[in-house]
Amino acid sequence: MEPATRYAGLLSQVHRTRRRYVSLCYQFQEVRFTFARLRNDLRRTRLACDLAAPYAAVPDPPIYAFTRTAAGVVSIVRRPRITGGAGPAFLHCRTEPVPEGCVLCAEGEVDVATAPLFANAVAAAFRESRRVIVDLSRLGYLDGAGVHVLEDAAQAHGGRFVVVGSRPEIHRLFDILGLTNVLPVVATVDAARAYIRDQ
Amino acid sequence: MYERSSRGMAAGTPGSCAVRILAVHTDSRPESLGIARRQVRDAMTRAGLGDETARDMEVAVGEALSNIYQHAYPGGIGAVSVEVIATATAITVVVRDDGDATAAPEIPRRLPPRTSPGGRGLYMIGRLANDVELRVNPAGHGVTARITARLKTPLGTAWGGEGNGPARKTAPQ
Repeated sequence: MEPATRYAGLLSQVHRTRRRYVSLCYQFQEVRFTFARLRNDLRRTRLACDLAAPYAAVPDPPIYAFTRTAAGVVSIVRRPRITGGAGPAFLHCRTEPVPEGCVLCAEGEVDVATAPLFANAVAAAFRESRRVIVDLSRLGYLDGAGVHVLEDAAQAHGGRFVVVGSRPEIHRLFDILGLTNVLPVVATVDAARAYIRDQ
Repeated sequence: MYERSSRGMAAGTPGSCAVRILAVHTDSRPESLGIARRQVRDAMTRAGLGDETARDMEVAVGEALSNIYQHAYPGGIGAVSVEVIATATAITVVVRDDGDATAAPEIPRRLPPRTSPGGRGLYMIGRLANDVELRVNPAGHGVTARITARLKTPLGTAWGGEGNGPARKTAPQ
């Protein structure tokens, strides 16, 4: 066989293999995502039912990402577990009674997926007591969906509702949306208690 | 899809060398969008975006994704692709859907009222990112959003220097 022909044949084989490899990578990623989603569902259900946490001892499975460098090489990167891309999409809200009312401490992330949970938690807190302090200082992520819930609460229960947010991005978000006058934000739970007492 | 077009670009100025550091193809379910957003956040942090900028970008990308969830596929779930593209001076997140929209929405200049659907998300994206571009896909439907954060300090040798290696060789001339 002519060397040039042979080379061309080999090259097309390489390209075919690479394409197959890349599509397999994506399928693999899909499986990972599905797994992570199911895990999160399980975790959320467990939290909702307030079961004990035997699951917490199991570490998160690593998630793989695909990167393509300038040279066109596709490689799989095993992402560090500590920042895991498909980390728990959970939101855990717990309420603590204080003399002035109750503190709703939200932990995790509030996005489109978890905003209904957050709204439920806020509504439950208002059923429980008249004045509610929402502590967002342990929240990893808050976006428009979460802000919407807070706005609704402020509208319905104005004056009996205060937000604790010590993180600058929360202030920035409220600033952008022009909510600094609508929604009172204070830095600590103690300040919030003082604020709500004065109302 | 995987032709080697970017190799030739690498010899140009540092800014012209774009490296795709993440490509996620997923669907528009809220859970999938959350996973994609976290992947984008991690990729941006790895690429050297500062903490504050990364958080702002994460919210911007999250808003773009929730816009897709709310508006792109009415009454259904569809495909979403998210890419993170890094150059030496900026990081761009490209969020794409294949919905029915045949016109790209406008970024509102002033804060829209609370009741307007979707408008506030776009306003937030416009405020949080340095640069936003919304376009209809070449196919004629669906929207591609390019959300860019400019880096305060241009990148050094991230990704083992592959991204701007050739540029560094030409620098001492």
